[in-house]
Amino acid sequence: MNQQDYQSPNWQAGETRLVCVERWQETHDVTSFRFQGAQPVKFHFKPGQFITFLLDIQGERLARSYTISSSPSRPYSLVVTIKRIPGGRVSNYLVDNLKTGHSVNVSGPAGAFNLIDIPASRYLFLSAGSGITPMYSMSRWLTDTQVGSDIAFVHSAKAKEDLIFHDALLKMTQRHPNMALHYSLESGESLEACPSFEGRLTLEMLAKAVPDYLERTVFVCGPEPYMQAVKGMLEGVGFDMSRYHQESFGGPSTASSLQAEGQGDIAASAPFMLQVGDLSTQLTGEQTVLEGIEAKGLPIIAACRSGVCGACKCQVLSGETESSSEMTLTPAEVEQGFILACSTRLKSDVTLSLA
Amino acid sequence: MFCIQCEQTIRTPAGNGCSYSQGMCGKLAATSDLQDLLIYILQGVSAYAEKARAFGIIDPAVDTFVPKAFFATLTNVNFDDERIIDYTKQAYAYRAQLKAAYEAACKEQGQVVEALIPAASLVLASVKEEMLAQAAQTLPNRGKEEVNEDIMGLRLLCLYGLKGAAAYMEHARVLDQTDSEVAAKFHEIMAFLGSDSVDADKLFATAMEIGQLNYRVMAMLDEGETQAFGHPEPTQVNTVAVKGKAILVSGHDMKDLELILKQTQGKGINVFTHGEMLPALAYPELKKYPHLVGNYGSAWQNQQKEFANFPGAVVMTSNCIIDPNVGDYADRIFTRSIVGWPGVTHIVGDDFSAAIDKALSLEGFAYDEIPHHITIGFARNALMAAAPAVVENVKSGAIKHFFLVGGCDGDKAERSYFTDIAKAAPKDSIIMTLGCGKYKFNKLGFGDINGIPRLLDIGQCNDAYSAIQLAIALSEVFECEINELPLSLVLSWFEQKAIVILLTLLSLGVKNIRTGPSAPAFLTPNLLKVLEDKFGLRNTTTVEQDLNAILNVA
Repeated sequence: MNQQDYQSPNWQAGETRLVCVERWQETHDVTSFRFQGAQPVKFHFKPGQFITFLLDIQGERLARSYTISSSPSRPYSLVVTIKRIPGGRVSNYLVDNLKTGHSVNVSGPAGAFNLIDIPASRYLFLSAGSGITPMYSMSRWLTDTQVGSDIAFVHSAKAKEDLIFHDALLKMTQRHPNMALHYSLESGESLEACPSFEGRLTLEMLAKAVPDYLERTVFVCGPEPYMQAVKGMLEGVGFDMSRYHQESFGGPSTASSLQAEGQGDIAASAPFMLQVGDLSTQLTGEQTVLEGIEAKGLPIIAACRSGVCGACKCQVLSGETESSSEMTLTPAEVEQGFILACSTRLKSDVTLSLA
Repeated sequence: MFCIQCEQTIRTPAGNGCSYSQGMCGKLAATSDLQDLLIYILQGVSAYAEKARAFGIIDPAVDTFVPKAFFATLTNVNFDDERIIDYTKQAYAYRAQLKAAYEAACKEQGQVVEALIPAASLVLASVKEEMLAQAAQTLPNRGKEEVNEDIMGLRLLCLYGLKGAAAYMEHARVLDQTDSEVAAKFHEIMAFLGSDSVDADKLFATAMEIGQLNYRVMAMLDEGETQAFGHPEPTQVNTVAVKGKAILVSGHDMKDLELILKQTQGKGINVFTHGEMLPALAYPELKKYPHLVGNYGSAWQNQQKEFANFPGAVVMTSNCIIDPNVGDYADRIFTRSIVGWPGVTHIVGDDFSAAIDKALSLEGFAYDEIPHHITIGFARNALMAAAPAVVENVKSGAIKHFFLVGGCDGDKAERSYFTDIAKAAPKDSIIMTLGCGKYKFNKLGFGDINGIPRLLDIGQCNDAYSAIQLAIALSEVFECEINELPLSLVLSWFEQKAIVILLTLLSLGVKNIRTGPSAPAFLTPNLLKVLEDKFGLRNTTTVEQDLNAILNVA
């Protein structure tokens, strides 16, 4: 690094071009990519946040979000850790094609699931599978910047071979007596130098590994069924849910509020016209605005597709809609007609602005 | 001005055609008028060339000049008044030369000097302002008050069709492919069009003759290209940025691309193709250069954004050029041959150092992007090599239909039709494509049928010749007429090259072609009706309706 790079400015939120400077295999199906700015930049973000890759794959513009697995305490590069998944179009594309020297456009950082916006004194990190990535960033941040932080970390995985960041986490716990690491492995394999349980995470395991778990602020990340299970488990024992925080990874929204509300078959499937600029398309009451926009090939960033990240914000100029999420919108924005396209369906013909 | 030659021309209830101070393409009224005057003088040249030929007087320089200068008036080619005036003066000089030769020959052989079309005797004004004053009598719709609009429509169909053929003649000429018979036919038709015929049958027959003429020209061009650069081979090409200094070569002339590749060797410059130059990446004698790294961007109508973002020099070897000042790259775009834009450096001769020096002075791409490969190169030979496998799959039922979806691209929203129909084509169909219309879908994934890619990129617009050869070959294998093959042509048109290719297909008896996104504005409802009755030619409707019709008929 030369002097100029050393003095590089902080990363500003928005679209940035990054260059992959290193990639390595974490496990048999997980790869990490280290990036630097095409223009030298210091990566300033909140531990736990994600970036959104903006990609053109086979002529389609796709956007997907990935948690930053590195820590902002080490700001000169940024690491994203990606698991190959069956049918995972973007993840597999990146694992197969993104090589050292390639550049990509990303937007971000974003995400409320982070240690800056959620202050805590004692931490409980619960993760499963590739849900470990924000926890790793957070752990690194805490051990780099707040030495002595009280961290209990319980990670669930299928087998030993699926453990991501294992060696690095082990070193962290060895150096930091206030950090404790436990695993639950479905395979039942045992690990050297680290306690592990057999099977999926249960309350008993949790109580054994982290006796004071009820007093901690909990951060949960993993596949949807895992998070639901953890949430149910904690609610069941009267955990103070104001200290419960979870990140959800991808997947289309499971909520189908319109149908649930029993609008009736006709109303729910009646076609409405969605007008965006010069283009118009027909949507049933069951399709999301996002589906309509993407069908017309219009530029929109849809990262989480679950009403969480706020990337697909757009404005209704006329017409009626119904939304299952307004999570990232301010009351003023809602008042002005802003919606999240991924979580909004038409109730009449609608004219929309993407600006 | 009056110009109605391209798809984006103004259409109003009061009448069609660009007739105000500027055309929709950005061509100013004066430029348009000067181009019409040029065409008129060229018609006079052809009139004398035709007569002189009867005496064995053939001037190869004239034979190549007339189509070339005519090409300069094609849509999005030359916007530079001074260059158009130069062409006109040159044409005028040739006309005088041929007139003298013809009259001398008549005298020598005791024959009467024939009176020729008015275009053969117009006295060209010497200064621009006066030339512009002459434009009223040389407009393409001259005499519209006296003739019915169907006649005018036929004249324009012929004029624009012949212009397309002229463009291909020039492309072939660059590759040393000329043919005296073709030139003779060209002059004959050019002179006939200068006669402002009112004979509908003769005009219609002429349109078919133009189609036939162009079939020969496309064969010559194919010959020239494959002789010079070998037969295209199926090739994977990258379509995104590659780190390093860069030159982008657009248009159709692969000879220029070859010169640029030779002159940039070892200079640390990557050469990219753009638009219709994409197929060049499949020719053995071009793809052998390692610094020919891929294709950048898409079709012509996106150039103001794509060239603006390209961190190197751009060379425009033929159509289509649009205003380079919009994207602020006029200082790093270079024109060649018939192309011109006021204030843009025009490279004459074979020395590209101006463009190369410019590329070296610019930053180039600072990074690689994740490579995005597409497969191209399914021209005549590759198609024929694949034909046995294709036939086998047709016989087994794995391939049920063939589409040829291609032509020109453009920026109208309705053109999403071509993306949609390619996407909606059944999975047991093969989609062949050519021209820049392919950019509507050529980066999408179509998969394959038993190893045969579902999307076959045949090449440039003129490689319609290859598609025709495949259709002929298939019809021979299946012992049927081309029109009986499960083959549907869906063509997008924008300018005059597409018009002449359509005339070629019609003149070969190809029926039931669909064209879009809209019918040429110069064709009247009566003419469209005739084309529909005679050839089953029709406009595209909706993807769903057209696919239903196509697949039920098949």
